[in-house]
Amino acid sequence: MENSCHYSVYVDSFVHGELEESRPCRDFENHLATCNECKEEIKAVSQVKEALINSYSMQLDETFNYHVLNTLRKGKHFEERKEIRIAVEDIIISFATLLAVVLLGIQLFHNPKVSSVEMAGRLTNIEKSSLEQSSLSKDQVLELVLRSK
Amino acid sequence: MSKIINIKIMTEKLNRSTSDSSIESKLNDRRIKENELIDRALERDESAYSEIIRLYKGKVAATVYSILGRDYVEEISHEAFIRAFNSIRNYRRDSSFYTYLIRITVNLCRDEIRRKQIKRIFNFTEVFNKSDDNDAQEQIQTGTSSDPINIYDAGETINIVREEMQNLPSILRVAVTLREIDELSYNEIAKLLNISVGTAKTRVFRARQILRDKLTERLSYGK
Ligand SMILES: [Zn+2]
Repeated sequence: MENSCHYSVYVDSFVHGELEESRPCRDFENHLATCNECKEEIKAVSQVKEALINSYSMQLDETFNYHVLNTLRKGKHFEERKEIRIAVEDIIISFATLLAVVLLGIQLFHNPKVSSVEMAGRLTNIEKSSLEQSSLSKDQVLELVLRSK
Repeated sequence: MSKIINIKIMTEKLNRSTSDSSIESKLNDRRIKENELIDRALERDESAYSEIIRLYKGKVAATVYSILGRDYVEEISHEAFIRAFNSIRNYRRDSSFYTYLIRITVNLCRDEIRRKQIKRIFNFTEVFNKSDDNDAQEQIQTGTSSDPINIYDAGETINIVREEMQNLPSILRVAVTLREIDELSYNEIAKLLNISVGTAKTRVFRARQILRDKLTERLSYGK
């Protein structure tokens, strides 16, 4: 089986399509026209290759795809992006809430003394009726209402 | 030898012109397509995952079958895809995703062998760490195959190949699998097994030679 021809080094690459369009490929192809030794070698290498491919060819059907995708789904693989989006939205909402609280605080800080009359002026009718029915003192209720605003 | 296997005869290849539709551009097209799929997979597009599985499941299964045996195919192939997809953000595009997947598959085969402690048949420590092939010959097993060779009814040649593959030293079996079944280049094989290109070539050539000789011998006895 030993191939003494010095072109035989190209056989393996040739069979595997690795010489395509290169200069050695053209030279080798010209050489093959006259060298039976290399032709036989190509045949033998191809035969082993084909035999191996045939021996281990396997068809995994669509169930296999389904199982792989299902495992990924169970691992929440496809939700990763959604989760990132949700996390970003959460951060924005939290930031907006915090900003609103701070602004409200500043507003109150600059108007610390609000008279009972002014407070009463800010009440809605419902709040006024709640106030009348409440057991809390007038000031306590007004303070609560103000805070809630 | 010509009786051995029914193959596409190479003369077809020899007769074609050198300017035929270039394999290079086909490979480039394949690479571009693969890159698009990876982009979509990174966006968690489920259909891209399906397509990747469809493209490569045959090769992954054949690799497991050849290295470990039929019984391991579904389980290891499944795990290989899951690992590859779960680590898809770590995949750097310096090699094809296919090579990345095959690397994971081969590593899983190694883990499985270690776990099952079937080192008496496959000595994988040597597959991955050894660059000196002088001992390969010593590892040739005389025991029978653990693989049920008749699962695929595809003739005597196939049975002989499966049996003789199992009898090969593991370092040769893995190398020839990567070359002939996975169709990796010697550079890729060397990188994957952490050996030199020269060693990768030696292993493939030796495995091929043994298979050739065994096929010739056993089929001529059977005549
Ligand atoms: Zn020649």
